[in-house]
Amino acid sequence: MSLIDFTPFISLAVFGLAVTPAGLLGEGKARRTIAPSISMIGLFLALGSAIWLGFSAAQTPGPGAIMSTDIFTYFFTGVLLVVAIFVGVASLSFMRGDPNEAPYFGLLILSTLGMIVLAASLDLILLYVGWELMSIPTYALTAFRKSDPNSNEAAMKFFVLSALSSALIVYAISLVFGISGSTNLIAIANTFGSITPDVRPFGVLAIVLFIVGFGVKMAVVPFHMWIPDAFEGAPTTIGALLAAGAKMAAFAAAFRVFIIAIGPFHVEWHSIFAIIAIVTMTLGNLAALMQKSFTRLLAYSSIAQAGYIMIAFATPNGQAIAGGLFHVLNYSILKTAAFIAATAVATRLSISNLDSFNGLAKRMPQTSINIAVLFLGLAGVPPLSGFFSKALLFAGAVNSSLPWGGYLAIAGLLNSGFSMGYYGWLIKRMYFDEPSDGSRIPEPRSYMAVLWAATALTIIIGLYPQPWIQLSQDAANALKVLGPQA
Amino acid sequence: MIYLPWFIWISPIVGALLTPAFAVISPKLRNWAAVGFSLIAAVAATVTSLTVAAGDYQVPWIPSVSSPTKSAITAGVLVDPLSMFMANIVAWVSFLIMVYSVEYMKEDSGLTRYWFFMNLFIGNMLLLILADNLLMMLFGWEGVGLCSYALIGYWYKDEKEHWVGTPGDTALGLPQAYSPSQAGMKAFIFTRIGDIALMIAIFLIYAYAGTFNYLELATKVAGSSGWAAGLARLGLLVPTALLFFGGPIGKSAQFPLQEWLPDAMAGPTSVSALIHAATMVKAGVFLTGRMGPIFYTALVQFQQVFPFFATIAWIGAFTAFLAATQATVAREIKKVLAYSTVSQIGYMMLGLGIAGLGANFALGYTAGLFHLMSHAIFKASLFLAAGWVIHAAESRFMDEMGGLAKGMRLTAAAMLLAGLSLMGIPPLSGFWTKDAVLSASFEANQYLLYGLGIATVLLTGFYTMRMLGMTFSGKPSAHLAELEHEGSHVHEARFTMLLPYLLLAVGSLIIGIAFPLIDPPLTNYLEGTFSVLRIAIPSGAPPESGTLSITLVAISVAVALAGAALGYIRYFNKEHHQITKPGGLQGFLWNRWYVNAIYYKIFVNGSMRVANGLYQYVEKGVWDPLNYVIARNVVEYSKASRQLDERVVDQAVNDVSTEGSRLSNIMKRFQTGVTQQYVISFAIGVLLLLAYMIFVIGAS
Amino acid sequence: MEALTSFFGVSAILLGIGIYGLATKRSAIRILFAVELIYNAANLNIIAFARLRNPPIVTGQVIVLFSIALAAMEAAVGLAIIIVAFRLNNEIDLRKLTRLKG
Repeated sequence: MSLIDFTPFISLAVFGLAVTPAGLLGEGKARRTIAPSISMIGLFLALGSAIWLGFSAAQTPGPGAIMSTDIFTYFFTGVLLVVAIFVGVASLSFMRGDPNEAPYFGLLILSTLGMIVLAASLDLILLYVGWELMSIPTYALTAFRKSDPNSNEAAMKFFVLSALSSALIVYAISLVFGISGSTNLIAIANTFGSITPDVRPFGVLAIVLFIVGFGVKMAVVPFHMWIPDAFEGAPTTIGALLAAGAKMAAFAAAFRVFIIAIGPFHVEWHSIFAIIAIVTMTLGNLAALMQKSFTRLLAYSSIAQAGYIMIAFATPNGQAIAGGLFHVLNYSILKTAAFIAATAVATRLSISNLDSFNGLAKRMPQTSINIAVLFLGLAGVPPLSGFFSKALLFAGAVNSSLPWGGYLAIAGLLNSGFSMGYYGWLIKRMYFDEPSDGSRIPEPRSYMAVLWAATALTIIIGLYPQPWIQLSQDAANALKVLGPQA
Repeated sequence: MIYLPWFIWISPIVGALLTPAFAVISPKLRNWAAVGFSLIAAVAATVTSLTVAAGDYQVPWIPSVSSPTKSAITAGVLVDPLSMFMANIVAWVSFLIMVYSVEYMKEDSGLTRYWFFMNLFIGNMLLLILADNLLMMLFGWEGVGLCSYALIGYWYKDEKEHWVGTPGDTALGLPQAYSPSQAGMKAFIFTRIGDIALMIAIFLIYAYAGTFNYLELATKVAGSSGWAAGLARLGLLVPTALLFFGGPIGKSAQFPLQEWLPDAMAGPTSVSALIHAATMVKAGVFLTGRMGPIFYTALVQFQQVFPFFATIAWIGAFTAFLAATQATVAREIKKVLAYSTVSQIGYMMLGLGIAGLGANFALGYTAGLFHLMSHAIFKASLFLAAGWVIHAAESRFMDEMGGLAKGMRLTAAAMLLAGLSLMGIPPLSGFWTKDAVLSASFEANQYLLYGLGIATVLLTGFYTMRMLGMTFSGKPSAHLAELEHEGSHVHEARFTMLLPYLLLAVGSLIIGIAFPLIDPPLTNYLEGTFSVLRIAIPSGAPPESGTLSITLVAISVAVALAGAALGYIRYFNKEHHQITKPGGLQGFLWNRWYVNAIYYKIFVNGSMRVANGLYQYVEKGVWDPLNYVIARNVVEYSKASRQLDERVVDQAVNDVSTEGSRLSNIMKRFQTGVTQQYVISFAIGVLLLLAYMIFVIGAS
Repeated sequence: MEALTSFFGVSAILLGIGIYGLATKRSAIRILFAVELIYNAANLNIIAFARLRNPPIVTGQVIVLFSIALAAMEAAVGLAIIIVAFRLNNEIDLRKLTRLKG
């Protein structure tokens, strides 16, 4: 293990810190372009090195390692960096002319750094540092429109719930530390296997608090209430960062903690995830059906999608975890792009009123076709990417030896069918309804670049899922190999 | 691997994707290029069936799923007698309908969309047929569903002239006329119900067989280590087979999911002919035929053949009868044909069901598939001719037609030929194939099913003659007289429209005349399907010849003639009055046995009520009051404590008055927007989780 | 062990007060206090667990230092948001911030 292995982290740290001061340099046009270009360089450098390292230098961490450089780390690093790049590229248009462009990009990159640290951490202290590094910039980013009361209100709600979740995570860490005397996940796993009955209640409390703490960011019912409000009020690009980036990073942390550290705990805690998964996906889909605002619809659909990924925790076999990771990959791309599409629409139309999507195909043809493909992907229509990850997840649930596997798969299938209700409905609005005003709306190039890239990825992954499934399976194996060996 | 079999389904899809590009060059090129691609598919299908050896032509697709118990998922094309038989029928009928479309649709705007979906449909249908595994089949299956939805709702602007059903008609207080977009949605949702069952069955089979491939499923089915045994141990074998059959029930519009097809007539007539008569609705029959022998082998080991195949046969026979009764009172010509399609598919299902009930599996099996072939031909002809009739008469209602034979003799002749085939009058093709189904059910000693089939023959004769009589004979209706007065004369169709349905009608006649000659080799050919699957199917005694079969033939012909005579007496050479909603038994039939209305009452209104109820009672009723009760107590408490706090006493007094009204307002909404309430729901969540851990899992 | 129980008891009470405060207080500043209480409950726990273990481990103090620093950062950003909220609305009563809902 050498410093080279940490290139993605180092490059984000260096560029993230450099962006804000660099934004003060230069004059006129140069001043406006310097911060965005530095940040894009940093993000692409990190993504490139993550991909390269993932193929060449991934290794199983040794005992006592604080940070891991295995496939799981690079997998999440890659996914999260793609999200950050999508958000970054879209922000080139979104933030153009804003006087605080440089701090915006700086915060974006530092938050991304927090996310990938979270995915890499094998130690609860580092995990907590990563968690805060991810969260704190996003509070500021959510509140970024200083004169917009909605932005501020969203940030306020997000802050209260998120701070509560962070505090509860620290409390859970304190309990785990008390039980095991260590903060290393692998060491914790060893002590959790042989826990004495008198400290078992502390373990139970710690599990609940971890579920709750991560659950706030993962958008799990009933800790989901802040999500629709925050996504609606926040700048839409930041909505994408929260919905895909922060959420998936929370999933990464949850995978690390629940699969590695708490796996050997004697109490059969998996069924709790089964219940949460079913409740989350059902409630998310039901509520999405009632929404009048596009961002709220996306918010509830992201809650439902979290429910699907939770299946991997409820039936933690190799296949379901691989399916969960594959869904993380697909979901991140799809959801980020869906939010970017919302941004593109919001430049001219009200996204808080779905009527403005009527006949959108005539007014914004590129945006519309991309929204249609992305929505079909989210609904899991073959042959798009979402179909295969859901199929793998549900197959994992069915093949599981745990008794609730079948119910999860059936609930997932029913929910997927049900979700077509609102996805299809919006597509119908865009293509079959008449617009009240037929004029064309300009579609900024940077938004379209993101949308087409995401659509292309969705179709490519859907048509040839093989290598991506392989990648997810490798990542799942890298995760499981650190956990308890059966 | 040989590329030709792949070519069959890929070429129409390529055609579909190129349609927008051709449209840029010229509309004419776009139209004929679309027709051309469907011709390529048809030629490829024929050449393949003549030259390519039966077998599975595979490429790797998703190999990494493989494990010791699961084989790699491959993509492949299965060339075997069944798939080739279907592919030829589908490709050639599609091609003729595409030719017809060029003229029929020419004045429409949005034709690029039309050609795109038509070719996409053909490609997906051929994919469904040629796929060598269930997963790929499912792609085609969903693809045709999507195209069907898009084409039913083709006239998405919902102009009144494109609605289906009598305007203002209601049953149980619910409107019975549908706009194209409603009809499309209805078809999509109805078939989706069956599809969910189908998918569950496919994944169940996969879980136990570890493969989607038909050939592997067939070889792994038998024995104590086969997947059938695995399912049977849990008592899941028959349920899985029945769930699987749910897909065909939905797609082939069988009872209880038959209600979508009549309303699917809101699409253009060429679409109805292609998708909702000749091809897509046969997908269910095809799939039942595809998996039928495999399920038979699976079930026969455990003596569980009867429940599955009896279900198929009874659903088929009952649907045949049910739909035929509804056809006798329909007002729209396309609806008569739609009910008739549902009814005839019932016959095919009856044939496939009978296969498993009699001693000779092949007998019912080939009978069902033969009927599929002859129905595809004569029903396509009927629909295409009806398309012209509707266009010429400028009305979709039969009571606004009458006496049309004078203006369009060839069309009338084509419809008469195809109609005779539908009734089962010798020597047309429909006679032979329908009779094969009926005699197979008689020879399997299923006399009740046979009786239902014969009753349907009577009804079929009656409604076909009724349709022909009301359309072509008698005096022109007031509507037509008015048209005449305005100076538009009823005339014959243009050649490119006329040719397809004339060809199909004459084809039905030729196949009928030659049937005694082509029956044995074709039967032999189709039985080759079993040897490709390498499963032994009991062939039993050959069909009985001699007196019994002659008696059966005589009975069915006599019954068909009787029905036809009734229809002739009642409807030929009469003046036609406007059909209004009848009462009594006819009213019952007119309202489609009230099945449609009841479905809407229960499922559409019901689920809206459930969704609303969940929203009202769970979100607003349980969650919020819970929050509210706790919040109120907490607030009360904190208010009390606040009294002590000098600083806030003044404020508290103000708040007490507003508190109550504000909190009751909060109750009316789900997401209150109040952060504290989010925290409370959060805290309740924590408590619930803890309670679950402690009391349910018993973790302390 | 008894000392540990009393430390844990105090920390549990602090946790309860913190959540209670979050749920009931209207002023955003008090909400911030409540969050800090939960952090301190956790910190107390960690210190007690580390100190009363046999032999005592120093990791606990490291965790608490991290925790205090990060909680302070979070509070700083939170305060900034509250200040902006006050500037926009002239009050910091969270119950009146209900523009986003439904």
